[in-house]
Amino acid sequence: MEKLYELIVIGGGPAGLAAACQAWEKGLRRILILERDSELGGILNQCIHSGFGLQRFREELTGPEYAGRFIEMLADTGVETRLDTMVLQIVPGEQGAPHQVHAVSAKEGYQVLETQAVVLAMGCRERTRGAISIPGERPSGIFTAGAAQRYLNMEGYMVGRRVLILGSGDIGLIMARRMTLEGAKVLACVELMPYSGGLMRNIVQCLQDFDIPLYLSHTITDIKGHDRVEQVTVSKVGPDRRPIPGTEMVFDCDTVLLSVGLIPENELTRAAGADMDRRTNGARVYENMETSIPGIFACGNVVHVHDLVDYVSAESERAGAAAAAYVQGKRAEVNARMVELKNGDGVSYTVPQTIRADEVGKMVDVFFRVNRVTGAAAIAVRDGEGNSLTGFRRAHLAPGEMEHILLPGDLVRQAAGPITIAIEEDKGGAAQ
Amino acid sequence: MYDVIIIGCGVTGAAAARRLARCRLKVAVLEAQNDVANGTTKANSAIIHAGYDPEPGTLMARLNVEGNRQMGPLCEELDVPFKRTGSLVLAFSAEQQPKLEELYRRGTANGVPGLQLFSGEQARQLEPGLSDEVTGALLAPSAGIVDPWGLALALIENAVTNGVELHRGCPVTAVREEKGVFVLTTPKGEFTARYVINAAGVDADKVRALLETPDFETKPSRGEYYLLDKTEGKRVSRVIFQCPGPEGKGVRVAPTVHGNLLAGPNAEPVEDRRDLGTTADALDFVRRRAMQSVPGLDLRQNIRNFSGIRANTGRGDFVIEASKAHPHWLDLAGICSPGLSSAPAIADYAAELLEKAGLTMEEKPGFDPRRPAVPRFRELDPEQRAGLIQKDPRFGRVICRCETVTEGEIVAALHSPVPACSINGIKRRCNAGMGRCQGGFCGPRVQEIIARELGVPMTDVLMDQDGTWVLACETKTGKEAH
Amino acid sequence: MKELVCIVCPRGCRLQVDEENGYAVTGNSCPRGAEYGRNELKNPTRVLTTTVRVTGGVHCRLPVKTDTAIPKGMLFQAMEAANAVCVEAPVQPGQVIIENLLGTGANLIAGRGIGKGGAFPDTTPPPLRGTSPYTGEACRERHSNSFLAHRPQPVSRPS
Repeated sequence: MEKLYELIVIGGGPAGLAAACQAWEKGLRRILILERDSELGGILNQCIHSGFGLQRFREELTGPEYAGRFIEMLADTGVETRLDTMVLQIVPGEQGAPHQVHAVSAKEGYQVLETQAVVLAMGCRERTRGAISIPGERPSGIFTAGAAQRYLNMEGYMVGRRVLILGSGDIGLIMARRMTLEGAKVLACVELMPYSGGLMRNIVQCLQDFDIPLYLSHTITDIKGHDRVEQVTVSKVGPDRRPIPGTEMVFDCDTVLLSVGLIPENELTRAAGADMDRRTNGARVYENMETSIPGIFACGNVVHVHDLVDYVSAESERAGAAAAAYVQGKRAEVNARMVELKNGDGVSYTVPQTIRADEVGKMVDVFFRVNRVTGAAAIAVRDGEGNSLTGFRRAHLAPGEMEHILLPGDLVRQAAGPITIAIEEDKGGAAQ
Repeated sequence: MYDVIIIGCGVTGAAAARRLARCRLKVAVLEAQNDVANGTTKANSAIIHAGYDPEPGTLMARLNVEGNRQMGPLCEELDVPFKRTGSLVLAFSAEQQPKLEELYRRGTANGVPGLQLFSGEQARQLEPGLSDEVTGALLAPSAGIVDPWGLALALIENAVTNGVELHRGCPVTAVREEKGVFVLTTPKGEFTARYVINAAGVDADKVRALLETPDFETKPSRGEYYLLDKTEGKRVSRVIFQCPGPEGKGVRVAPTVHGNLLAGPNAEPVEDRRDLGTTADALDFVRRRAMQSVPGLDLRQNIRNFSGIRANTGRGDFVIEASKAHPHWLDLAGICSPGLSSAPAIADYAAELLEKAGLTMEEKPGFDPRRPAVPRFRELDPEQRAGLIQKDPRFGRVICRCETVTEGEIVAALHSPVPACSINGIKRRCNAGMGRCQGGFCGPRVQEIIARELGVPMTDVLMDQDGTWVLACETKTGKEAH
Repeated sequence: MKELVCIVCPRGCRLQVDEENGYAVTGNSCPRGAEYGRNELKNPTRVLTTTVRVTGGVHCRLPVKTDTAIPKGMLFQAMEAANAVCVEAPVQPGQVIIENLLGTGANLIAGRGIGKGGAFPDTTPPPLRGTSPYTGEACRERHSNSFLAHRPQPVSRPS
């Protein structure tokens, strides 16, 4: 057995880096990051486009630049890192005993590490063709957008020449531009929903700039090609999202990129026994990003999929700070009063899912996503009896854009029963 | 000149090759595709049937029960994942009850051991996931699940290790018989043999037609499947059938040896033997039928749909016979279900028929029946893992995160007796890319390892069969595949 | 009046630009939005992010970007210039790869550092050819893969 760590961070992407730096800042000195890739930075390394860090650094950085800032910060600390290291299992310690982390690498072999706290920062993976059951043949040439991005930006290969993109998530949009710039013909971007899943700015600068059509309320209904993709059929869908016969368009192409959503990667979390949220596909967390297992925290895309890395960093710093506090003995009361956050009308999930009322400071960060596009709307926060606690206004809400509110700690402490967050749309624009 | 040439290296051809490898014979296997087991063997229900379904007296009945009996020891010898899970056939109404009884009688006549009829309640006690609508069930304890691709690979690897030659990428394009010797034309030159086994799967009729007008015709029937994530893998512990009806043996729900859950297939006649597509309608049918048996099934956990082509011939039985005009030509055709279950017995029967036709079958003393598989890192305990990494650090580098497959396993698969040559070849040999991310993360890394180990550029590495290119060219230089 | 979506930040403000009235911008939440709105109609510009070849490094592509926006109409020309470049590792983050790209005044700069390295990380043992690491046996049928069809034909082994 090796030395006892105070904190092991699983994953050296933006979440893990921010959590580790913050835990160091708060006084922990035996911190270890375990990263499965051969370098730190995670998915940011392949996101070579700019647009990262506007909130935190007031600059428009590329993904590698953003990662670089945190890697530099980390270099000024004594945080240890082990690269090319895959965590296979987390065994939670009983009754406050250290947690065990089983990991493996070519260099260090099979490692059983002990630690007082763990931060889960494994990120997410892309939904695949199987997850959405696209009909048709199974030729080569069907990639998730992120896999194609890695080939293109890091390995230096084009995955195809005539490309159709399914899904208008940001990675898909960004790849439409990248493939076009590198000489491919991107025929169209096809989106099942009546609205895009990506940021408006990406629709403008990645599709409109290059005259790439965006077909909303459309989907792929057939793929042809015994060996490589040869032809893709796209159909319009009705309000029930079922294809409408007679609306077929046929595209001759050799490549399909899928940008159809991300799923938090929680196999380790599940196997460790943490309570999961079916809606986020991540662990249920408290206000300080602690999971249902004391001393195991989670942050970033492993908890819920973010659209801005600045939010990931901020959330992860809270997790890192909370892990430090845990190690330093500030542990939540076993019988702390729990205030559930409930999803009201228009809200698909919230993070955190539960607030331990006595643990809250001045403000509680609450992140959530809405399940429909709205114009001007109010975010209503009500207690268990339906009394309004507070409200927030937004000019515009969309599922593709994560929302963030700050709830005053006092409000939470005084709330009777669970707190519900709901969307109340302005009727006829009469709202003030 | 070869004593025997086997055309086709699916599970049937591979089993025949391994059977003949026991004898002092010069044997070659010619496979049209760039890898073995790339036809029906790679896309089927992965079930070892008990043998109550075929009509008593048919080849199917005899060879299925015999093949099933051999499967345990065979998979042990070849280190192939196989589980004797047992199976249940479900009835959903009083009208279907006689069907179960008929299967029971047939099975008993075929020599299937241990068959038992249960009430719906008893069936649910065995399998709590079953629907409340189930009124009765037939239990066949000898049914099981296997890795069909792994079985075929192990058979041919063991055959190759024992002296059989394998030529992949070697389709037979013409056949003639000259003075009792078959001359087979391929892109790799002419091969000559005294005996030929035609194990060309769905194309067996076309191969036979190279010699003479065949007396059977493949009527391809496609079946579509859902493969669900391991989170659904424990939904049932046995193979769950429905009463066979006009739509074939019906949709089944079964665990796989890798811990996933498989649901399917439907049955639809297709014109194009290479059309391995899926359709929304067929998958919808599979979904409804699977949910009828196991209502709790979460099909959102789907990680892959696929389809396979059954080599039906309309004869209702396997076509295992010598040509009348060319008695040294043996067809192993129409090997549809239960072909996988029957494979070892088909091989024995083929050897018997060859011997009858005049081939001398003398046992070879040095035959080694065992094939050690590449170590499966994910199945080892921490101590074994540590030991393996110490021996070869490449076993410490996990390439496929979902299935925990290491670089060591991938490298081993690239240098095995029948080495992988494509990304899917790696997937089938060591599971990399088989998991929930479907190769999204590990695909590029596997490709890099293939390129490195085989000394070829990345752009030359294929996904699967010829024509399945992955990368169009390098960026910046535009350098294409060779 | 022209309607635009501002791309300066992820907020995506919906702008109205009045071409007739001195390109007056409304709908913006910050001064940068107003500037974007004006420019977008008069002289649209974009930051180009792409990669260039790098040799002798741990990676074979280096992410690069223009340090200021360049005219939108020059993006493909700029790509050609970037594609023609090949730099040698090590590369420092921010290192200028092309100065004054196509006379735009923008420099093409490295988006990260890339250290010197071999083709494979140093923990990887050298490629193994010809024998199986597990069985130690010589590989059979090494070159008969059809995608290696240009390689030597398999040699028949004696039975």
